[in-house]
Amino acid sequence: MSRTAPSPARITPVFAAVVWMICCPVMGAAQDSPVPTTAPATQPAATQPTSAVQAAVDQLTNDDFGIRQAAQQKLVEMGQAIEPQLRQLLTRDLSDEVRARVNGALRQIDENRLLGPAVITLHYQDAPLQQVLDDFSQQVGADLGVSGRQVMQYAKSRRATIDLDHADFLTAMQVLSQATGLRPTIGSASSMVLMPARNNANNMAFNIFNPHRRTVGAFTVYAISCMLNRNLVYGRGAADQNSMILQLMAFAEPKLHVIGPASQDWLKECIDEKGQSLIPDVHQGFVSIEEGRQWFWRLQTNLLDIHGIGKKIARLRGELKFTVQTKSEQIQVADLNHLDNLTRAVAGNSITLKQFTNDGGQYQLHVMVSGPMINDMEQVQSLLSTIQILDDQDEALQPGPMSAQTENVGTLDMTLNYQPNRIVRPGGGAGRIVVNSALVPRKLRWNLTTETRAMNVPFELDNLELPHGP
Amino acid sequence: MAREAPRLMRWCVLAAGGWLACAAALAQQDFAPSTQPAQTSPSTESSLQPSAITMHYKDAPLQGVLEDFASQADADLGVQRRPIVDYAKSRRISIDLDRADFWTALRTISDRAGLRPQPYASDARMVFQVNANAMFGGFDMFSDAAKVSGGFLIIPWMCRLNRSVDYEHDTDNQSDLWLELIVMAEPKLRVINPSNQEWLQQCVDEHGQSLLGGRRQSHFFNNGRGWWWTMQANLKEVPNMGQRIASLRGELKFNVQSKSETIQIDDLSKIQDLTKTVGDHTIVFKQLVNQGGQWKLQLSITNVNLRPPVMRQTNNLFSTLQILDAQNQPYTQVGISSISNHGQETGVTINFVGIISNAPMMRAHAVEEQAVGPPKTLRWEIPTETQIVSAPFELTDLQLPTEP
Repeated sequence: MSRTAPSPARITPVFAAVVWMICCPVMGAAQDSPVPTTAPATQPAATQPTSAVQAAVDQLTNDDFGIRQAAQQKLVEMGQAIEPQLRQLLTRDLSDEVRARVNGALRQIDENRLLGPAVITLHYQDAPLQQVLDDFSQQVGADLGVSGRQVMQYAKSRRATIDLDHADFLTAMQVLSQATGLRPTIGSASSMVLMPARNNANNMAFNIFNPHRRTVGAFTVYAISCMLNRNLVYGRGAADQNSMILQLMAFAEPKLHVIGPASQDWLKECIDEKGQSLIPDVHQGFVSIEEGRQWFWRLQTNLLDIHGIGKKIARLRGELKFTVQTKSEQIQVADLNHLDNLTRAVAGNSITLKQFTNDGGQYQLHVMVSGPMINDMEQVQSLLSTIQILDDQDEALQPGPMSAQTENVGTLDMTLNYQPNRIVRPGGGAGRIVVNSALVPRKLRWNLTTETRAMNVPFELDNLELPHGP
Repeated sequence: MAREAPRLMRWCVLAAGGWLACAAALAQQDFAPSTQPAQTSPSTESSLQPSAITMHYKDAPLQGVLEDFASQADADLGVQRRPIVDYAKSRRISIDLDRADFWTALRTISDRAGLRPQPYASDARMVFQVNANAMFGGFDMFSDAAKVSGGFLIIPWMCRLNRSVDYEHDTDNQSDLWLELIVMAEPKLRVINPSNQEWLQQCVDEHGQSLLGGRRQSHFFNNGRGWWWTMQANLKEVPNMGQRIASLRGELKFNVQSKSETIQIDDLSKIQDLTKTVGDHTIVFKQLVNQGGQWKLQLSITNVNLRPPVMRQTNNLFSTLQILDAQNQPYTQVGISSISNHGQETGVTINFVGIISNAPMMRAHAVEEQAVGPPKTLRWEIPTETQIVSAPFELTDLQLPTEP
């Protein structure tokens, strides 16, 4: 084993923004998801432009188009905290372009509230920790478990000092972790939660603070590792087997509800410092898909081990495609014994939860689907996969396979199977253990997606060291 | 495959080992009348010496040549198996060998006859096979780079170079280089186990740079009784490393059976409560029963230490216990299901299935399975004396994994 000093990868901000490709209201109208509030609790909502806001606004009249564009983007990046200031600005006498750009910034801030990157502003001096956490959670747009018993117990007698201005999610999370002793980890519902450090050492599937990363909107792509294997087999008729595997990780901020898997074909370009392409003819991109709600994905690709290969990946470009839930409806059935043909209309389709049965210990939910969706089994299964059967303690039963049957033209009868077992994720979201149990089904909970949006996340990493000899 | 240079040709029989040294010769008087007396194989130096095969055949019937080879090699090599007899029936062969080592003779006969040596009966022994893959378990046992040392064949299998960068933990570029080898013992040698893990002595590239790493440099896999083993040499990648290993020298040491006794019980229906004494050990065969298609042989043995590493030797002790059908076809031993201690007495249940399975560790060739008849005979060869046999070797001019 040999060691050489590493040269850290640099992340070049070539792609400055997430490209919102398609706004796709695939489902019918339903009530909106709750919209997170991001105004910091520590500061009154200022309506007079601060000096930073005023400086950016002044640049909106600059002769240089690039400077005007950058100024608008800067306003967007200041986030929801400056919305009152921008609205107050609109009451003034402004040129058409400045007015248009301020309105554009407001629209983008509003969009970002749902799908864009969190912008965190926290100014606390020796404040009660719970207050800081509640504010942080609100600005992040996700629960983060801060109202859970363990965190509340931990926070009860603690205070915190924190000073952040327009920080991105990961920066804010890192500062908060250091200041409070709470660490991000994976909660029981496969979501990110904060927990006291002593309880969750190494419970994350990866290091979210890994500096070899590129943040694009609310998504971050990390470089994890690169492995080169050269195997030489001796003897007659034996062949050499060489391979190089690059592993990355993609991460979505907790407020995003990504329901569709990223595309496997994510790698667009990979060249060394000599300009040689390292993408093989048979490119085997891979994105891990796991059960339940997913907020991080392992990306893997094979690369070429070529003669005269350079020391570094000079540039790696990729593009991830996700489907994100923008609207949903929460359906609850408090007593499964009384489930009797509960029907919901979804984008011109009808879904009826007919009944829940126990057939010799095999629990089954019988569902009837009608409408155009029945021709797309993947969509039907994706929609129904979010149904949870719970016991009295809200413990979810292990879902089994779904079966489909068509008895009548235009309808599809689905049977969803459940085992009374408990699912445990000891290492976080990746990997699970089924624990034989005897959970008694009582309730049904269904996060029914009613509107989605397709999102493209182009990213670029550069200057990644390649494996090399001593 | 090449013979070692004279310096490495020495065939060392070292100090006498201690396999079951604590066990005295088997006492035949304890056998019940239904058993044959235990057969004692004499301790002879020839049983530890490598074979020297001489054959001069011109257009001779293949079956006769195979049987002569098996006889000179003091091994059965499965030449009486029905597929081989059928294959050899109409074939003739010419062979000209003078005091060839076992491995050279094996290769010559295999190539001329169109047969291949393969593992057989759950990897218990080597037999000839018809239509078998040329690659034995994924490696080429007749590779030109292989070397013979005494009764052993040392085969370089593969060299692996792994390099990695861990961006996540910002660790340095890491590199691992290791060489995997196979060592085979010719069938007449009853190897109890390899006795030295640290067998690697030197490894240099063509620039004379040592490739020996600082950590544990070598070890054996499949440490127990067998007739072939995988070995690994942990090397290190050095700056400006050459294109090849110019020389790799090592010395293997094996604990080899030099004297044994064989218990044979010809009628298994009368096995119940048969007693055998081995020095201060007493073996009592309790019963052989069929449970759900699996045959379970229950016995007890006294004064056996089942704690590691002696435990491994104990398992080796049972590995030679065979249950055979009327046609002398062996049942496949599938493990020891329970071991219980009652004072000085240890209860053991050994499980067998009535299938001959040609399934070695690496399933790179067709698996041959056949059912056997009802169990009839028990045969158990117990080593009563061992010696350490040394096999020094040198491999040369082995290519290293390099850039494409």
